Amino acid sequence: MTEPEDSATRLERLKSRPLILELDGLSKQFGPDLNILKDVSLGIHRREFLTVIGPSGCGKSTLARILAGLETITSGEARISGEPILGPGPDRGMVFQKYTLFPWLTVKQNVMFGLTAQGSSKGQAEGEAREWIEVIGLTKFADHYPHQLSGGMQQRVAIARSLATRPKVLLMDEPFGALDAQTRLRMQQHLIEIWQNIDVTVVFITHDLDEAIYLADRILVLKPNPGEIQALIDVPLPRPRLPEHLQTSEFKSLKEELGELIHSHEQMEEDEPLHIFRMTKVDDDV
Amino acid sequence: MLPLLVWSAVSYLPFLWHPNVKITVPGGVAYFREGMQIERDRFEAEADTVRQSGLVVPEGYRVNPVYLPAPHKVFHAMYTAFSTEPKRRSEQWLHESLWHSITIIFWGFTLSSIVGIPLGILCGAYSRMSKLFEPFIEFFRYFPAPAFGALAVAILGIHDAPKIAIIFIGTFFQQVLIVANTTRMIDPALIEAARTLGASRPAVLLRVVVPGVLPNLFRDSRILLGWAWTYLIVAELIGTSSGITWFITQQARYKNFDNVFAAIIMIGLIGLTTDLILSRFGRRLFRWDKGAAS
Repeated sequence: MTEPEDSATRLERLKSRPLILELDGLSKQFGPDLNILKDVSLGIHRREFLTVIGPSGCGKSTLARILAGLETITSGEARISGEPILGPGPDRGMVFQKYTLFPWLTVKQNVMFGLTAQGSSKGQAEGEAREWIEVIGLTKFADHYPHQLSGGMQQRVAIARSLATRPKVLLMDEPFGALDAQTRLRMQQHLIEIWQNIDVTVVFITHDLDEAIYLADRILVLKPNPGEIQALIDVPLPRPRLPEHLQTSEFKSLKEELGELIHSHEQMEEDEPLHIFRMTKVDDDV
Repeated sequence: MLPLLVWSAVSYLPFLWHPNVKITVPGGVAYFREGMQIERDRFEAEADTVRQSGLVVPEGYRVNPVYLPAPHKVFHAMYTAFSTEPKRRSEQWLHESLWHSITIIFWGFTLSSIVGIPLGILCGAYSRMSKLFEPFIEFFRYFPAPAFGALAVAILGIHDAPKIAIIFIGTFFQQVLIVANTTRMIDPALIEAARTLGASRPAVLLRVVVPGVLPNLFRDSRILLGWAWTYLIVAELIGTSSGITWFITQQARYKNFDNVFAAIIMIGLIGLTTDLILSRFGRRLFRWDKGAAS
């Protein structure tokens, strides 16, 4: 780490980096009149940490799934390093809210999965997996099965598993949503440390305001029905982030601003009549 | 436990049920013979008639019908059935018959699984495969397997082959559908995770779907194996009757109902033991599976 630089110049420097993800008029519809995402255009810079926040039903999970290649696009385009995204690929890793470690594989075998799937030899994959397990601090648990680990440990392994294949982009869909507050804070700290030491861009979906601000370089705020960009906010907090930053006045005013942005739409949402068909289709954020 | 208690009570308490009389002294009734069993009403009526004509009054004691032997007789039969030499030289000892039944089940079930499990997994994993095979299988599975008995004998001869075929037919169609359903229940999030890790479609099938459904497949197989025993009884009646079924029908013909009960209980015990062994084995094999407690 060099001496702390002014956060304004740091953000300038970030925005001068090349774009790695480009969203160009991206729209997603389920059925004829259900707009999940509408006309989303955005560039995400290399090594940026972008958090995406918005009320439920704003399509933030769908956005992550589109970038992962797990969901098709209705119109518009999403590109990674200039190439259109047509399906899942090793250049984009994904960590889900649900625990998705393969329960029949040990921690080490889970981390090796992506490497061997892409043709690494077993010995090479094993060596790399061991390094990653050391990074996440679970060396003692390398031969444990997922059901023997706590939720936080499982998500750490999931992060290591995704990063082991050296993706350019790490997509995270509310990965800490199921964890308790303390574990969550430790995991956020841990994630920042890992991210700072490797060349990876993170797109992090959350509905937690503190989390959105604490982690991000920039925050993308989506509004629901249809999911459109409401705001793209710079986070003027210094790096490396420390838990003390949660107490600063900048943090608090930013949180207030974000809260108002999101809250205005949650009110509107409640006023709309409930529509059962819509509810079953839209609740990918729940 | 309750049925066993009822059985014991009915067998050992002479005032409960015991609808027949076993004759010890035939007396003056012309058709009475020693050792013969007759309904109580008839016995009383005949005894009255004889008493009035001044002849010797018949004697006897109350018994249950032959088809309900007392528990101790059945347990004794469990031992004697194994130690009694077959009546004719061409016939098999009981343990040989049992072993024969077990081999029939084994081959029928194994052959069915070799084809049925992979096909079921493919149907569960790919909707195209499912559309291709499942309508036929849905249709075929309503054919009762025993209905193929005569056909199987005509095609496969009278020995073991048609019996194995009946077990195969009885197991296979259900197996494909059950395995396909089990395969469909795999958590789709695991498949998505594998795809974001760069796994190709065949790799997803072999490295995620197959290992992921194995514990449930194992549980399905245990249930299906139980059904296979049901088909065994029919299968062994076609062609030359053989195995444990041959023993049961033969003993019923001699009215050795204690042996019949003993054989039925033995089938139950064999089923229970194999299931317990498989369950143990499954728990050891799938230690990673939290739900493997059963």
